[in-house]
Amino acid sequence: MTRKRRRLYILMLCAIGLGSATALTLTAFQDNLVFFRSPSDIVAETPPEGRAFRLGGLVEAGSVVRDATYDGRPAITFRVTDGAHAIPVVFNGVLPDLFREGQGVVTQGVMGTDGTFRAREVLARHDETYMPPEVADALKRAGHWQPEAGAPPPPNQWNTLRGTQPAAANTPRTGS
Amino acid sequence: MATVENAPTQDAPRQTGATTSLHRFANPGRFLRLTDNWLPWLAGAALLVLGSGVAWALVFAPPDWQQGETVRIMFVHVPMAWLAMGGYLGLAILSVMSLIWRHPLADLSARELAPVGAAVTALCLITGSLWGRPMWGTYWVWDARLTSVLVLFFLWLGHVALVRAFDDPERGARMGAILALVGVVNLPIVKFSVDWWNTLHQPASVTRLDTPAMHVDILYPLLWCTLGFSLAFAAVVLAATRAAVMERRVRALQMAAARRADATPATLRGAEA
Amino acid sequence: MNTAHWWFIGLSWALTLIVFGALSVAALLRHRNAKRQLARLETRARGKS
Repeated sequence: MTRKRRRLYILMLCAIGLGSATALTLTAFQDNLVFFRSPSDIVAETPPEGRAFRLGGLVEAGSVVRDATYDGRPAITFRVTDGAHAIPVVFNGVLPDLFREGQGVVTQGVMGTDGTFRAREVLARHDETYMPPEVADALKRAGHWQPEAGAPPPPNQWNTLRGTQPAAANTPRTGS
Repeated sequence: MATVENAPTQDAPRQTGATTSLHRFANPGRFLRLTDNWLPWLAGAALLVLGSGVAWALVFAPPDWQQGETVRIMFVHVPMAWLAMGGYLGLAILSVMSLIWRHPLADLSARELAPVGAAVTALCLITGSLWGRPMWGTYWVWDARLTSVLVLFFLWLGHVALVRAFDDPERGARMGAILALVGVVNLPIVKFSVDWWNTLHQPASVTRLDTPAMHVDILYPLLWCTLGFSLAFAAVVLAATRAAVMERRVRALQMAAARRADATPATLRGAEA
Repeated sequence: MNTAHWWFIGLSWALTLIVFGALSVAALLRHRNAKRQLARLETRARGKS
């Protein structure tokens, strides 16, 4: 019995040591683990010129302009916002399916001298919301949600909503 | 499942020889008898749930309002992710049982669990990548979630390799158990990476304190597929563990027979035949 | 907007089901072999004693 007890204590001690070491390491490297920086981060601390970094945020409503360069490549300009600040972005390339106004994006590129971010790559960020098209339409029709303006309403308002029944669209049932 | 109450017998000083090693199989033997008729039921249930789950996920579930049909990849990706993490938690529990109580069955089932865990983690990474290409616009990024799941995959692979790297299976099992327990720190990192750091990967939709951010028409087929894959996972691991127990017993019986044949004097052997 | 990526969906499902199928078949064959071998050895051992 004592031998087992001792093994248990040794194991617990190792777990505590390893756990705190990992926690300390993770806190120390907190900044390096950040995948992208928000417009506010960039405004607060401008990265060195010419250095590539990732800028992430929401595509500002009404800011997307789809154009073409003189040689026929797509040229898209939009603004990435985090609510407090917005940074204009220009991108020549193919956008992912999920790209739309109000969607989260992560763009990689360099900051131009004119304050416009020149993106080499634009990735769309999916949020944690999953709903059938009928439900999304019902929410939009009922005026509960504008996708280009921001996040959908709390899930308990639409989680069990039946989009196919028009009557239900106005009186969302609460999830059990 | 194996219980702890009869563990003290396992704590006895180890001896070599056929009798002691057979004695140490007392527990696995009871495991064999206990699970004797589980396998057909488990496999049958897995087939039934998965069969209907495939139809539900690929045909009857609605598309997502912005992902379209591609959301159907989620019905395999998420169960694989949950099994990869849940399976690793199981491996960690088996490792504790192995290190503290020296439970022989824990060693055997950990050895059989790890390749299956590595397979589901690989599937989680591959299906996630196949979802990411059309949706995010890339197969892979080095964000905290994807990287920590890749580390989880390497931990599974490391366990598979380490356990088989020693001539003495007990030593291999000990090393594997230590690796598995060290790797447990990665589990909260995988789970909370999307909350602690900003990642390309979305936060949790289902396993959160709030109402699931997933409509029930998509949530229910997901849970059904998860049940199906979990049953299949359990059936595979159970079958492999039972096979491993029986294989060890076969080897022990063969060795005992060989030893008996050596010990028997030639004259007696002739009389016996 | 084209969101019907059936190629990606089909590949994901096919891979998953093939891997699970292969694991199940391998485990069941191994189980059957071990059971048969053990039964043979045990009857022989019992016959001797």
